Amino acid sequence: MGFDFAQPWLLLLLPLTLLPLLRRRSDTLPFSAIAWLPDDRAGRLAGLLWRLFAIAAMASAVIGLAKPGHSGGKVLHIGRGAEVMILMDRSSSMDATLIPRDVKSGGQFNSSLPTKNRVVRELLSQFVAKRPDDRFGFMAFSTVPMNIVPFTDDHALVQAALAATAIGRGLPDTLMGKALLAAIDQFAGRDYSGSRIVLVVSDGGAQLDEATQLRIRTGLARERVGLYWIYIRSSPNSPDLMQESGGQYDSVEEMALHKFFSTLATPYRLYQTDDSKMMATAIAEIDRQQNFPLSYYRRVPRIDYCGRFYLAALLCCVGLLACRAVQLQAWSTQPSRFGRSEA
Amino acid sequence: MRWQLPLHVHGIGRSDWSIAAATLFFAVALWLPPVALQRPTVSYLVTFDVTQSMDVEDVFRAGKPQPISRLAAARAAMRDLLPQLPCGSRLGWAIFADYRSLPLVLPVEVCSHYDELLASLERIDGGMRWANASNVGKGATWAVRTARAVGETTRVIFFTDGHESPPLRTNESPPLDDITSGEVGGWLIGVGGDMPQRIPKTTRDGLPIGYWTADEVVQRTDLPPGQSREHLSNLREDHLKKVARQVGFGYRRLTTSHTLAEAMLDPTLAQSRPTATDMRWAPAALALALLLWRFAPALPRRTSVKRKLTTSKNAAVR
Repeated sequence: MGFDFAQPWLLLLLPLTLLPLLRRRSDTLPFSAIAWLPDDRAGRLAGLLWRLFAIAAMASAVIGLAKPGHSGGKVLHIGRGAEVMILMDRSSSMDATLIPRDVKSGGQFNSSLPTKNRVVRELLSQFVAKRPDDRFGFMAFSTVPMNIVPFTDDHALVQAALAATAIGRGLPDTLMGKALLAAIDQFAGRDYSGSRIVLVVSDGGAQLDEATQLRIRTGLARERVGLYWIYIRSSPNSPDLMQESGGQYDSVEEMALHKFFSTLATPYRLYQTDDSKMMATAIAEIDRQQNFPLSYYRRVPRIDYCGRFYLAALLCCVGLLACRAVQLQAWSTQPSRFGRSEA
Repeated sequence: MRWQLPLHVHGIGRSDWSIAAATLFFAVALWLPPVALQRPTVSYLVTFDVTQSMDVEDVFRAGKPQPISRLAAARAAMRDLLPQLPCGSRLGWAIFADYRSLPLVLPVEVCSHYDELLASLERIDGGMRWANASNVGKGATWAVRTARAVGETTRVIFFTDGHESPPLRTNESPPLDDITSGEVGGWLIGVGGDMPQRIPKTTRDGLPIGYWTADEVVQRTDLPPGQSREHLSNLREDHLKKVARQVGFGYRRLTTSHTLAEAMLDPTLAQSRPTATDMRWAPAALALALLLWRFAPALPRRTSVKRKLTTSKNAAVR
């Protein structure tokens, strides 16, 4: 697709723009003996410019009204900031309500408490809102990873994808290994621009077999991606991973996953949602890293050129006024040029 | 001799007020930001069936000799349609598998998020299906529930081939207790060919491993043995029309993107909402009219021949 007009029929007005070639009686001055007039080169030039400006002004206006533009075009953008792939657990366990901090017993299905999904959704939404320069991507996972929003500056779409996780129940299962590998893959082949982060949001551990662990380890190193785990304690038996030693009833899966991530050669951070300073720490951490600008193209439905033509018409009108300012328009209202030059 | 400018500035005469006004109007046209006007817009949660029967390649597009898969055809139709929607309209994506729809992206404005909507649309594929079953009828009711949860004005587009797997029992219909027919408007869009085709089989990782065979799928029990051919798939229009009636949707078969545009822009499904509208044409048109008026030759007046002759003898100074 290329250059086109949204209202091409308006171009039928173009022949009208030749009107200035017809001289108007009211633009002429009667003079009894033309042969007496001295040769007025500047005057002739002004007359020529006058007609050219008039034609150009009207033609620009007509073309502008026909709405010229470029359909299916691309616009260059310069991105700054980090690249963050959000990988959100979409399993049904996220529909459960959150257990309050420091409570090791009590009902998991207390309806007065917010669901885990809501807690992380709000946290992530604030996080995205506070990082206007970063590019975000969004993936959800359950049995399969779903690549929903590829890296973009357009945070409205990331927010819309986050909000979509609020609707409907969760899906079965949490296969984090496959999802992590898919998230790391999103960085492959992209220009390296500084900090790259996979932000995985999950309430539970997952058993990663050794082969998967190795692929995650090498993948993160190859693409130079840091891993941030936003961990939501899911049951009274979920370990507090911020503590050095777990309780004796703690589920071991989360602990094992945390231990594996801690051995990565690439940066790894753990954020627990019941830590009130969690978001500030995470933001500060990303800010510490340096980023290079990255240029890329965004498709737009249409690039509009009306403005350029209206500007051209405006400039031509200014030209017309300038021409007029140096021309004699009537004998009576202006002092005679000839009278003065004779003096 | 006194040095003198060859030109004298005479000032702008009274006959040039129209040019001055046109200049002003062009300046207004350049400056004028979009104005919020009430205009008809649409808001859809577009749901794609991503079950395996949608991988059957039996949809021919105009001018292309090779058929493409049903899902690819649905995506392509949506991609072609996107620039045709009036600005201010909103689109979101959802997928259907198993028995339910899952929203991926809630509706966002189409013109300002054009690239992002296209980029996320391109990623909707069979790899996203979390289960292999395909209860299309139930899926339609879920599409209604999902759109209802998104917001009152959200309508539904549901691209599907109507292939139920496992097959429905005689007179089985989806539970509709919490849904009144037509509470959420929308369309079921049928995608696929009329000839039953083999269904490509893929692994969980998306690798093709041949086709589903007769003994691998649940066959119908209401037919004599050997007559049920549920491992083959075609567009089941009768079934989709029935489902559409039950939930209060319209039904259209996907032929060209024009049919889809017609369905989606149906005035009964549109809402009037304030939309940023480019109004620069108005001052620009005024300016043009002023210029045309200024340069139009004077209409011939009823003057005597004698006067005409005198005037034509007088040469133009300009």
